[in-house]
Amino acid sequence: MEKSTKIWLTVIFLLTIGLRLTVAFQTHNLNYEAYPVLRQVENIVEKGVPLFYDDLSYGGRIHLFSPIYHYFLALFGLVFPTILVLKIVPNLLAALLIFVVYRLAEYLTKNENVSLLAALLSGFIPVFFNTTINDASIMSVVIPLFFLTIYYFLQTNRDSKYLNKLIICMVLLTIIHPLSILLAVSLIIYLLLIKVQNFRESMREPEIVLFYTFLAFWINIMIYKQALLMHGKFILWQNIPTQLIQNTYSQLTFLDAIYAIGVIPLIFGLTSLYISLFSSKRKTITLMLSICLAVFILLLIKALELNIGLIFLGVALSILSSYSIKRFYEVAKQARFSGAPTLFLILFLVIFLITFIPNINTSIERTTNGPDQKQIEAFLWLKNNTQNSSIIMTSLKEGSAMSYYSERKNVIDTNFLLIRNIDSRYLDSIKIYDDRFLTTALERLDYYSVNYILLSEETANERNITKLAFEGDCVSQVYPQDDSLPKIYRINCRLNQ
Amino acid sequence: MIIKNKKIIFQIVLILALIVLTIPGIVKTLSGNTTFIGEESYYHIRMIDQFRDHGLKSTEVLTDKPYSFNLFHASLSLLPKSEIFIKIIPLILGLASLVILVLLFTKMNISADDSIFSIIVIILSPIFIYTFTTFTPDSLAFFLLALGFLLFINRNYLSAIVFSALVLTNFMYGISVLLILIAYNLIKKKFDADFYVNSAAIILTTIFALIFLDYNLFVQFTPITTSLNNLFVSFSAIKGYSFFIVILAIIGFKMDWKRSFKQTLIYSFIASVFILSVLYPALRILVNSALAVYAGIAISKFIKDEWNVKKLKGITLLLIICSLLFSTAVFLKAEITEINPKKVEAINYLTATDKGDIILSSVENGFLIETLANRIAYLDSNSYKFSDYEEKVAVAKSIYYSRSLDKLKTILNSNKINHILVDNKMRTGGIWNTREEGILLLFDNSKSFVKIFDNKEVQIYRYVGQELKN
Repeated sequence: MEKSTKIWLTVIFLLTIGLRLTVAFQTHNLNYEAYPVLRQVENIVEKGVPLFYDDLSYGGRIHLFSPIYHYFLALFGLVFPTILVLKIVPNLLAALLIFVVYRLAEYLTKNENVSLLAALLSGFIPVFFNTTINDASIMSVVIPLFFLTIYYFLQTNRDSKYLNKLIICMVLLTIIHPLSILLAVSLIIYLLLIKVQNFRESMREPEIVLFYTFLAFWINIMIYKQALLMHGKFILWQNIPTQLIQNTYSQLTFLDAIYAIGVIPLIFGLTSLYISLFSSKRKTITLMLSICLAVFILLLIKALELNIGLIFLGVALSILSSYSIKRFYEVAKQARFSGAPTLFLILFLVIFLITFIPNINTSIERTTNGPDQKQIEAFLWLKNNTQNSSIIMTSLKEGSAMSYYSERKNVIDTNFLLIRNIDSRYLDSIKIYDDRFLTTALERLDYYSVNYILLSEETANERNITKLAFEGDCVSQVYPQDDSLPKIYRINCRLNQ
Repeated sequence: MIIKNKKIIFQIVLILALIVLTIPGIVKTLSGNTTFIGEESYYHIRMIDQFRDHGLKSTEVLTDKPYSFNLFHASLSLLPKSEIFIKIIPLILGLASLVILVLLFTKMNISADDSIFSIIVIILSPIFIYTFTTFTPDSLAFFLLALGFLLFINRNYLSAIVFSALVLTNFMYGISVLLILIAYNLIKKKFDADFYVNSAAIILTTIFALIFLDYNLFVQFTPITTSLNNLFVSFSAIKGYSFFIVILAIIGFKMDWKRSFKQTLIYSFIASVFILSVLYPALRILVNSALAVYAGIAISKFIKDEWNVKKLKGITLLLIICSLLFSTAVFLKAEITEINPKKVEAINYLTATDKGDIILSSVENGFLIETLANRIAYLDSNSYKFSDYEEKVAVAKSIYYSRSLDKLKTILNSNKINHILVDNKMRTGGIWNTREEGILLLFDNSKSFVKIFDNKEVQIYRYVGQELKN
């Protein structure tokens, strides 16, 4: 790598991390999605072990997950405040993606400048940028590691000196997150595609794929055995409530998808696929195509969270973009007009900026997707004024944050694994705010033994209400003293059995 | 050739089978658990007792559900009533089947390496362990199938008798044998007298059974609900395939693939029976054996072939062994813990209830309630064969998750359910998540339910809503 390339790559990294942290620190709090991670990390810092049995989530349940990421964050948590760690470390990890994409693009194009452009693209994929800024999302580590494994897979095919690094990456990915199954599926599709496309057969590839298939499936079956036995085939949908899946997918328009992935990666990435399929065949492109196909299949059966699917597509297309950018750049070089290559680069950067700048606004807006000061005060009121065993009804996304601040049991939160009848529980957590009659509301509240209901400003806006319709002697407002939101209601009576 | 001394290796493999098949029984006995393995065993014990006491009947005496003649029940009803037979018969049939399979593989020119690895995969497969540790007709059916086919290959006409017996043990196996015979003769491109004699024996036995034994094809042919959950052991199926054996078998298919009529026919046959086995779980041990052969071929090739990445060879083989052993260990543990003495104690308590009382519990407890307490279970593992199954499942769900006592009373009264048996498995994720979910809350707070038994593992509640009303 040339020195100037190293400098440019460092500049891109600093730019990415700088922008990420600037956006992340627009608010003091974390997004709602980060609170399950925060609770685990704080428990590790305090007690040395994660919350495998959590008596607050869903009124008491078992968590089934790999705690490696949480332990990693807890290491920093020993020295720095946990909220600060959850704002900085995931952003640092996510920004490392640019180095991985640079390597992969360089492997594909053998051109450092073009690889720098691909790295730049990957640093600002809107959906990845937004999901990993203030959510402490595990995707911050999974995505770079996934593509690093792909890089070492390609390198090992050429030179076995990379084998140890490949094995380490594969093992790490497998023990960190079940998305390792996606890599196994992608590699199997890759083997089929290279057979169909009549590539020269390599002995190493099937051996590595065989090893990884058994590793990924065995370890994941071992970790998630209990969930597999309980949910059966529904484990594919991670027990996410059906209506929630339908809502997520139905809300996405074609334009939203393009916006989430990014216009440039989409145009140039698809062009690379076209070139690869119909003119010059490249194994690297086939491998990226396999990832896209695997993601597409999983999205089609709704077995992959939409945002995560779009992140994978975005990164794969960014890497693929490098190939067609190189081709366009070379065509521009051969043009009669001498300034064509520079013009091409300027045009590229202008389109990149035009498409990315509006996203910064979205990112900043998204950082407010967490509890505000008024809401935290309401949570703290619950902590100070209710019994330890109280069960609080909140909306789905507020569940973990409430349990974090109030140290009280919630009815529902965003971790659905190992929960029976999740569909009816989810619907109840919505309908309770719409109920007009006390008896139907009490039926629901009795069922989950709810003691208090929290009506936040966000839930009130979503349900288009200002207070609970069944408020009265049985369900009375106890917080605040005035009519402002958020409101807390106490349940004073039960249905007579 | 990896294996040098074939005979000793086969002896070791048989010892391995003996160990695997006796582990559940030994562990249970050592821990003071004298119950039988698998709730299905209890159904067959009851049917054998019925045969012994009442002779051949077209319905089950207790539940009045249609009953289909089974040679397994008829033949074992001739033996004296003894627990030893229940424990030892599946084991003997399992070991005998393995010996016959070894002979069959040799006869079919499968190499020693491939056949030994195939036999090991068969022994470690959950479905094999289930079939030969549980007291079910499937053990006899598989044994008869293997024996019949060995005799057929050796051109011995005794195969016709064995196949006839097979039809009376499991009708689906009879159909499979016909398919195997057709496929075998198509490969040989010659339909000789052996084929016609054996086919005639199968068809005539079926006709005889239909006319004279009141053979109930309706019961035989009812498929189970198709679902991935019922297909793989990892997804909690009892008679299911191991996910890893299927993967290995697919690799084996690919390795053994030759473009020939014979190969196409074999693959098509395995694929057809695999599809049938989705609906008829009894066929799964048959398909499992075929899959195990190809899985064995794959493993043997992995060991024999020179790997390009030498370092990965050892790790991959270790992973394969671990994954196979893992499925086996998980399955053995599930088998050992499935029925415990506390559950049996609770179910025995049900004998104190009135005759004719209907008991609601999980499907897995159905046969136990019917055999040990001699009471009718609202749902059991045979319920899926009858048209009111979906309705019954919906009723059971509405009872379990009921929020309204009035509605609950109506449902319990209209379905004449008097007792509800709840075990820890049902409480901890089997049906409910939390201690106060659905009917569990009503059990503690409503006068309509009285707890009549509790041994910490199982609770029995008597519904007295009807009596209170009166």
